[in-house]
Amino acid sequence: MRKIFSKKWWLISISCCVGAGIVYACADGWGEEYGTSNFAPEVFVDSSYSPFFYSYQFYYQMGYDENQNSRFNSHNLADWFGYFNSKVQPRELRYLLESATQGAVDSAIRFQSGQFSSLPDSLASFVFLKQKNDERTLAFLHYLSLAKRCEEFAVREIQYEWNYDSSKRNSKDPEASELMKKLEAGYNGTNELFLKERYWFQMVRNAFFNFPPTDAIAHFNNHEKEMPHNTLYYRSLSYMAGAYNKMKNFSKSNYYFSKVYDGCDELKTTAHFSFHPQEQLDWKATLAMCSNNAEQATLWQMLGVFYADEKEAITQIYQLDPKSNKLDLLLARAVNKYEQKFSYKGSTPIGENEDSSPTKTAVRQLISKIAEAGNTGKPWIWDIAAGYLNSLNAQYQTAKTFYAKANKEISGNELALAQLKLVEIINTIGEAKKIDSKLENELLVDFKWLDGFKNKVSPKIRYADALEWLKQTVAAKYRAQHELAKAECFYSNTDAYADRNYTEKMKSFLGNPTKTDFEKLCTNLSSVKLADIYEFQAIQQVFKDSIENAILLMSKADSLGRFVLPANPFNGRITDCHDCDQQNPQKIKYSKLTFLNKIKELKDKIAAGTDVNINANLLANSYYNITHYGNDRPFYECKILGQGMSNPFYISDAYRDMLINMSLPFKYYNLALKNAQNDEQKAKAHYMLAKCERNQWYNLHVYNNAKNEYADSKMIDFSAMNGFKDLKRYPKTKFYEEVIKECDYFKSYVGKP
Amino acid sequence: MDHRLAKFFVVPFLLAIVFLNSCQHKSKTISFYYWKTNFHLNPEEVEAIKYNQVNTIYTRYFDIDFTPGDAGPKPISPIQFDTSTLFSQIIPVIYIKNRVFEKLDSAGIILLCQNISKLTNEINQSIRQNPSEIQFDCDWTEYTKDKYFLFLLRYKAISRLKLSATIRLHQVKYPAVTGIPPVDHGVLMYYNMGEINAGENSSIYEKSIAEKYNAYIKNYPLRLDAALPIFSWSLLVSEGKVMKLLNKMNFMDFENDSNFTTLKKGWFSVRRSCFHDGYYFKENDQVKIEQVPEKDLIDIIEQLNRHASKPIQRLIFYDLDKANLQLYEKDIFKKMVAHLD
Repeated sequence: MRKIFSKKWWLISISCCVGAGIVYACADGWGEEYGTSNFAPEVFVDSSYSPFFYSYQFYYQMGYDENQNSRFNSHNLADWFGYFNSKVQPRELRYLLESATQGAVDSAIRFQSGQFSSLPDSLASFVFLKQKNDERTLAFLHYLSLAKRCEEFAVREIQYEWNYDSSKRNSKDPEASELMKKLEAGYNGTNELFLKERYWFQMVRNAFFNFPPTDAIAHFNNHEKEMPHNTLYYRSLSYMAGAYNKMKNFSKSNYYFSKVYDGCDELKTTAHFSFHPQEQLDWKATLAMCSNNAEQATLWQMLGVFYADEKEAITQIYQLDPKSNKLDLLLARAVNKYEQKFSYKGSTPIGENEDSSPTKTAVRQLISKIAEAGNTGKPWIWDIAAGYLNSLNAQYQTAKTFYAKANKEISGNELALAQLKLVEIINTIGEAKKIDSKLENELLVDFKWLDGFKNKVSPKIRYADALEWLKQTVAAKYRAQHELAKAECFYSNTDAYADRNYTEKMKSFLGNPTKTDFEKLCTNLSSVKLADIYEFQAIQQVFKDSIENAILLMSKADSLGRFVLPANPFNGRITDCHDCDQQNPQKIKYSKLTFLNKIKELKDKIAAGTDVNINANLLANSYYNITHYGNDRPFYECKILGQGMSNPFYISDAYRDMLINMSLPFKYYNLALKNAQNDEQKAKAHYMLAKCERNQWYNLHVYNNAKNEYADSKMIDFSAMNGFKDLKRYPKTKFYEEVIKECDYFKSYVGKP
Repeated sequence: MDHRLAKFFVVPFLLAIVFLNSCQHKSKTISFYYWKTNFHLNPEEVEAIKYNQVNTIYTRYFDIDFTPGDAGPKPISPIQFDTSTLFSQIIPVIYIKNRVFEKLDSAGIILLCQNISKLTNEINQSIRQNPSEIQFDCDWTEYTKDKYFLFLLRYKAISRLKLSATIRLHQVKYPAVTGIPPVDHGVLMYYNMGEINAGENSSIYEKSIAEKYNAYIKNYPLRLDAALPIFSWSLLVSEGKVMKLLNKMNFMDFENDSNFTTLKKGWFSVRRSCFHDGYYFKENDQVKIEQVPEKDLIDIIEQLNRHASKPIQRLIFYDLDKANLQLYEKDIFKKMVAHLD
């Protein structure tokens, strides 16, 4: 059977055309739903509370709870399977419970009792229905028929479709009184508690939906004492709580929902959604209804979690019972909220990341005080939490004291030890003024330990932020102590490679054949490998027109030089079309290295005076195509320069000019022009120079200033371009005609008086 | 019916229509928006309708959203009517989230028109009304204007209804960028003009902000009704940050509660953590009240008089709710209309 209808579905926010909205405070950025965290609730909080772990989703690892109509299915199947002593096929039982219609069930009853000669088609093959007059089967079917009828008003499939009827609420059962009599008869007609509790549940449910709320309360109370406190009990209790809500008796409603929340894990989210103190008086009345401290602790936990006042809730529960396990979830949430300010900025000392708001200070002080008292159920986690918050506040010595205490209190709990170790590592690195060889030896072990979590399935420990922070922080400290190579290995600063000294230092560090263990770790860690540096230097040399050096360096770049360029780099188009060039079939495919060899060949021919116009033109095309404007941008894409930079603003400032500059194409198109043998060649060279002129204008007027990225777009005045003026002098060439056909700007320029 | 009798009835009836029409030309109209998912008027709201002779209530029927992961746009929370309190004519208002038009293609627009028309007609039938107008509310941008306007044209074609659309102030200021919607008339939303923040300004109405837009109203080519704010809300502020919007909460909710103290004009401070009106307030949090006093409403009318190209004929107050009505004197709406040129 499906489950009770949850109120959640009604609570759909409507537009705020003019109405109200809710300001949601989300964790910064993307990534894990818990934001930034080094403190895993999974280590110490009962997993039944997991929907309420701190998350920017509505429920942790769930998003919205959409299991209203199915959350009890497996439970229910298991219960009935037990009822039949496991002697039915689960598939048949599941179908009957979850899919069969009431009509089919009624036909099965008639078949069982001999009124029908056959089973309905949908149940015809069901083995366990074939044995007629089985008392237990009949009792099941009689109950099932009534339960299915109750589902008509109690269960609703909400679909937001374009059909008004689908948005309407279920109507009441017009014969609810007659149904109630049948349910009562069912209850009274059996001695089996298993069936009695089910009939009772349906009676409460029928009363809730079809009668005044007082009836639901009365039906609940009629038999409540006889019932075991199982899932069905709490489902019934939630209807009674809902009945009090209908009566606007919020104190009682919230009290009973707190019992549902505490007693039934499957209904925790439902109880959460229904728990709504309205005024301070009704909240106090709810507290007064509690018969013991544990009940009060549940209420305070609900307040602390649902209304985001963990500090108040911890204070209250701690006073009631320091050993209460209700504190665990609140502690986890308090720390997880606090640590959102944990910063990746490795250059900032950990203490300066601390948010000094009074609320946070109060939370840290409260947790520290409780940890010092050491009288909670899990003193070690309070010590870890207090140590960690102090560590975030740059109180490293205080943190150590708490960690030492935690270490003594944890006995054999490996997950707890791992959590402790993780925050201890943060404290050690945060505290270090300098990274010396002693700390390097510690780092060697700790880093490998942290990094090892990457390969574990569901590690539970939240290691990723600590690992990233460690890399950046260690790098910042190395940088401060001028150990640039180690700094680079821990956290790469690719812009720094623009400095040749830096690049050479990295080459000698990474290429050093006799490394210490720590240096080996650094080398493995470095995202830039030796081959990446050779490739980068080769590219730099190409843009300096120093081809021999480029070839030498590229041939040291291992497989990187074998990368095949997507387009023919020697193409020169009237209108640039990268996609066209990349899709066109190419007779010869060039790799980065073979391309460089071909450039050398062209340069050699030019030097020898062979077909200078043609070869200079090809050379100019290739130098054009490996800039940002050309068809073979992947030529310069590499580890250091980056990839996918579709806009010059995405290229680092350190390298932008090199990759967008037109000086080499200018140089060789001018050479082609100088050696042109006829008007066709002259016209072509002028036009190609015009393209370079245009690009250079954008380089100088748009891409020269980062502010222009979001500014209104500027456009070159093409009528002022020298290349166009010069081309206009060759109207009788075929090339001129082609340009007129393909280039609207030139066409419109020529058309001007 | 006997012909003589028919004459006897029809002539005065026609005269009455002519007379009524001429009256309507001169008189200004008071309307309200109704913006809840269940239409049920309480006695105070019914009284406001009767006292102000409100014939028309602009009623939110449903929202439309296109949630990521969905195959198409869907209606959200269609309204449910308690017809026992329904005495007025209803004009359906459909709020469409701008992102719907960010995602839809032209085939989707036609389907959306058909779906909205179908659902709106079903709701109309359920309350036995046959409205002659429908209003669309969408904060469209220059990027969605083409699709939104195409939608409006198509909707007009299939429904043959009079179409109106809400117009926000930024759309009035930049008509060349955001375009003019192809509708019969617009409703100028003269509110929600500021940022929601913990500063001293009001996000609902701020004269200094309004003045930046006023000069552009005159040149807006659509005939405009005006929507005016009578709603209030409060902002829950914690350590300088707005944490929550407390819908419909105002001075009256805090001034007599000992858990709150007045901090300064329009601000309360939480003395003790407490529940109040279903919200939880933490000690030392602050509450900022935003509402539009009568003098500001009059101010708005004066600005509309000064800047509208044609006299405003209809004021639609947002929104009809007991909580809002009790913030003002009973005759406030008549007063506002009387102030119109």
